[in-house]
Amino acid sequence: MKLFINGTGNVSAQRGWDSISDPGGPAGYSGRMIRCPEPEADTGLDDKYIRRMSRMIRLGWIAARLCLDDAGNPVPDAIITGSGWGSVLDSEKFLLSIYKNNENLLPPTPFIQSTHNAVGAQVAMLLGNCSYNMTYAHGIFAFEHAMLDAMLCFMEGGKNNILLGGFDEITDNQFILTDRLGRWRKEPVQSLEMIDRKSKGTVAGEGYSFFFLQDHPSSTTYARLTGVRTIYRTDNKDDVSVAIIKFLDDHGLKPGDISCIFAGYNGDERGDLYYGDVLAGVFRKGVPEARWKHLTGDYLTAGAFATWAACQSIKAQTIPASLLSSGHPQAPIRYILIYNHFNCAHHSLILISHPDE
Amino acid sequence: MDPVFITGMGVITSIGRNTEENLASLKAERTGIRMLSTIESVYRGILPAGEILFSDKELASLAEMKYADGLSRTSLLGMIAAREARVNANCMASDGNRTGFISGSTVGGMAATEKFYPDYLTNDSRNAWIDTNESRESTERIADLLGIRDFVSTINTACSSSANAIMTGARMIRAGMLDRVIAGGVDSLSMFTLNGFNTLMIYDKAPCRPFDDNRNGLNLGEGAAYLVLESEKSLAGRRPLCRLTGWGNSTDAHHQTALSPEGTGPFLAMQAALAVGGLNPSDISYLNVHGTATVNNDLAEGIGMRRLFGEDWPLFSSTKPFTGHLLGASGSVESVYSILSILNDTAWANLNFSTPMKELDKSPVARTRSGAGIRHVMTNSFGFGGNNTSLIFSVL
Repeated sequence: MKLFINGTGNVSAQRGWDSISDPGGPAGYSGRMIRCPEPEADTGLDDKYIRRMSRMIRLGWIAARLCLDDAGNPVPDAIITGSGWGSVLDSEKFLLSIYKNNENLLPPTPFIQSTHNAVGAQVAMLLGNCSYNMTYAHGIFAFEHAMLDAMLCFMEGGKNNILLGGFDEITDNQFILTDRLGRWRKEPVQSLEMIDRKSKGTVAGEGYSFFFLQDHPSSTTYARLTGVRTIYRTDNKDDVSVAIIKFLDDHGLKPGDISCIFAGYNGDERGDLYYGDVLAGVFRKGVPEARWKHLTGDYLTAGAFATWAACQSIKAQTIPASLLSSGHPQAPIRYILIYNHFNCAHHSLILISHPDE
Repeated sequence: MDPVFITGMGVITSIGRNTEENLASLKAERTGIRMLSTIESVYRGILPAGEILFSDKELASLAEMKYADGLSRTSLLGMIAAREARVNANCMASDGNRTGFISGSTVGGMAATEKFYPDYLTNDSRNAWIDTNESRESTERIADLLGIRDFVSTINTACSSSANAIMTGARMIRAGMLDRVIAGGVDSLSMFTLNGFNTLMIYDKAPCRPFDDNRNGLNLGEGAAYLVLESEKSLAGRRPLCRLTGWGNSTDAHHQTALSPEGTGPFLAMQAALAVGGLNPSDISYLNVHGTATVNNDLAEGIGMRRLFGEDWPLFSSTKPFTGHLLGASGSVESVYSILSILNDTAWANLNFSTPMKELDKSPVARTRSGAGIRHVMTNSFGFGGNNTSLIFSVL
């Protein structure tokens, strides 16, 4: 069974792959938080409808729409999404209205849109699609478990056209809350330099990425989705290195087969040191390394942006200088491994390969 | 197809702190719905709900946990039910079987968030609670208590969350990804959800009346339930309670909070569950309906049932007049009630019923009925966004 990624759609702090692959092209931000600028893409919906949508649903819909268009508008027989935080803004809005109006005469729309599955449900509604619809909400595993469910659907048979999405939004209030947990930089930083100028914490971000998965290649194929695995609660570097080697081995690969690793470096001293140590334990002879969080900031479903960047890189057969941080990937680019961790405690692995592999 | 067995279950609701107490209340037709009395809300004394009357500190002692800041009501309810399930199944986390924990919740730690949110925004006094705002947080607390590490996940599809957690667990076992999964869900009562359903004008100020012509909305409740799902391999000779034979999910694609007048989503979910189980509609002996008692839900669900069953309906009832609508936990709690239905050969009462809906002309089981010859029980769970899930439990 092979799964092909035949369409992608992305809404992020970057304008698109062209700006990322053009030297000097990526957008840089100054501060402690990066938000997506409003995308220019046509939503295909009338303005009245758009105004009622929350920002998360609107941007999620745009990313899904871009993905479907990219894939030639196939009909999904499953819509599977992952979001670590879910509908943050709507939950805040409804909660604040409860305090403000003392539980009386509240606008219901933010409540209606407050669950994690609001985007997946709206996409289904706008497409008139009654198929399997699932939403994973487990922190840094949210997107990866949605991806795993997609693979499960293919294994079971019967569902061969899957719309897969991963997204999270950041708001001012959510930033304040999570800042109290020490997740973010205390001082503003230039985002493009955040990984090189290490300190405590990282820069908060957000993004929306969708993928169209099919059981056959098409004229729009980017890559193959080969594997995904999550590793729950271990801070032992050796155990994680061993788990990565085992993951590769389960797919018939050795560390030397990996063309480039996309690692979730985010400029946090402790976390970045951890990436380096774990990868050194896997790739004894070194491996070309790329990173992406300086383009988007960090968020729980950041693995979805990395998947998008890996798809683009494989299709273009080049890793842009704005992503590549060390080494020179040998042509052809066959396998990209994405490794992301949360707080050195939870880890995720995604393996994307050339469609011919 | 490899069978999926249920070897244990645990539950806490307003009608009991464990399976045995819930069963006794079901048999005695004893409701847990009464006027709100402990939650901090202007609706205390005004709206009825299935409140669990234990304080968080009392729940901590039931969970055998030392009460501390950051230990949310959601985590505590989940711990009590999940631990009961594991003890009931008599399985250890460290027996070499690949074990997962999958939990569903609609609002996760909202009961804590809504108390402390103004502090979160302005000062550091409640920092120990901030992390409970993330839906994964209670899942991780429960998984850590059980010592489960091979796979840990959280699902949020609103009110079908825990049914979907059970379905995902079963699928992973059948695909050979895991040997054993503890799956279910939890939601604690919150001002957030009380106000949400009240502002949608679907909260009945009287005890709810599912599938009654005079129904006027739902009552909320709180609770948790988990099942232990196992493969034949991990059973290792232990006798299971029953099998999980069917599961199906579909979307209604009609409205964020209302089902289509054609009952499309419910029909497709029930049909898909039968297909997975290789069963016919006539095989279902009892259907534990979603039956929230909103005008829209019961009509759409009933029309979906008519499309599936024709005129020959199985026994059916909604147990929400016992517990209230448990949101993300309703699917797993009602799965426990479905399994109890099989084990006791009994269909549970649809309390407060008097007049059949004129559009359907079908009456639910009004009084608890034993000796019903129950072999296959279907349970429905529908959520916001038109997310519909059906599960089927079968005798061994």
